[in-house]
Amino acid sequence: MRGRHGRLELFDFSLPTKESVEKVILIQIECNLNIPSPELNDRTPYEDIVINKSVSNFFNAFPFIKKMPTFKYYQRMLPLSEKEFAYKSVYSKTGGVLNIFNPKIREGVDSELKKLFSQCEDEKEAIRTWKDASSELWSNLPPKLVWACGGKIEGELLLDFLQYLTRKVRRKEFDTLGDSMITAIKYLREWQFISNEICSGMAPVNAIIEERKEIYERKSAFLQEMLIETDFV
Amino acid sequence: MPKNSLQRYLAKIKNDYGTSLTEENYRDIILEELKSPPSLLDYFKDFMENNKTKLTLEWGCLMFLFIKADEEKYVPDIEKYYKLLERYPHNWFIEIAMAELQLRYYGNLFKAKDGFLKGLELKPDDAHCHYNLGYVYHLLGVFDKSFEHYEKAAINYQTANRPKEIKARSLHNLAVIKINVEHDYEGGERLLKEALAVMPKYPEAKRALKQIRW
Repeated sequence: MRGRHGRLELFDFSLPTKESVEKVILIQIECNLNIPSPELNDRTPYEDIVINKSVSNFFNAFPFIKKMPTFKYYQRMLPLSEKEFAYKSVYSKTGGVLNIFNPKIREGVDSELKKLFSQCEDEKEAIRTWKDASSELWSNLPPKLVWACGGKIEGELLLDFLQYLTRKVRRKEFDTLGDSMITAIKYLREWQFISNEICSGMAPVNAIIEERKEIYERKSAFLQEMLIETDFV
Repeated sequence: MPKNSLQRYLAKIKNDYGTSLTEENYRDIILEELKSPPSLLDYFKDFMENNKTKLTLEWGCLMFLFIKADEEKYVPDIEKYYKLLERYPHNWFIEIAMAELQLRYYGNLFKAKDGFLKGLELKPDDAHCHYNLGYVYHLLGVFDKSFEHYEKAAINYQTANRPKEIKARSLHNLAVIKINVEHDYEGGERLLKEALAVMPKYPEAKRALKQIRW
């Protein structure tokens, strides 16, 4: 689609913009950080980095990451600082596969949060309401699930969607950026409801939400155990 | 505004489109350009009446040039005349044209959504705005709002340029949401039949109905 091609592990794929190619990489990293591994004593990289307050242990456990072209993106996203636990950190998340074509969201465009801040006297109360409410900015995902990020299933579904889209747009020509974006998003909205083997026949949208809920619960419990305060719990 | 800008606009309109705009005729010429559908003409009659003290010959020139740029789909001029028209009361036509540009040319769903919402404020119950909002919310993955707007487009379809088409397409898109999101196949089938009753030669609706019956 307009010559924006990327290479991800085993296959080439086509996406409408350079930004969406970059987002694919960031989604993969977000998902990887939530997958527990024996190398980290069954902790997720996220948990390991928070416990050690450093990325060294994680990079030592997976030395190949440093040699990958995507290493600079890991460096950009890590280590996890205090900011990770504040409500504002949601705007640094991708929103995952369901939001792959969305532009970067800034707090300034979050009209729901703005409205709640003006309605509630207590800022914390406004954030508590906001984090649970479905948001137009992220395909109806609530901010807490955007913050939680995806995991193993979403990572696999990402590759599945890229293959699906690449098959669908093969040899298609587009007149405008809008044309290619709309086409890609239409295929995304179609794909998200098609029963998928990766998630045992569930529709990807439901599997993604279910997995994010599980990750959210795990993260919440972990942060509570670590006595780390966060706006998202 | 400097007088020479007005002279430039008048000369451009005369040279490029063979039309002489004057203080006396510019209102009628703009209404002639926007006469279809009748609801658009009615809207502009009201708009001009309600803003008669604020609209000038310069507005008439800019509006004329905006309409032509929109017909020609020439993006730099659409954006240029929209910016120049911003100092005058906003109207439905320019907001919608810009929202469509954001959607179809740039693929910016959030800006398009804001534009269509603004259009709806300027022309409440407008089927065209509701239909496009249904479409944009669908692309945004916000299906409850998409459904809400397609429903309103199907109800207010008479205000649209091609009323039957807007109604049939809204019903078809409602059916798609019923089937995909709510897994309500009966509801979907009913809506598809309604869509086909309005527009019998509608391949997408026929195809969807066939798929349901499998």
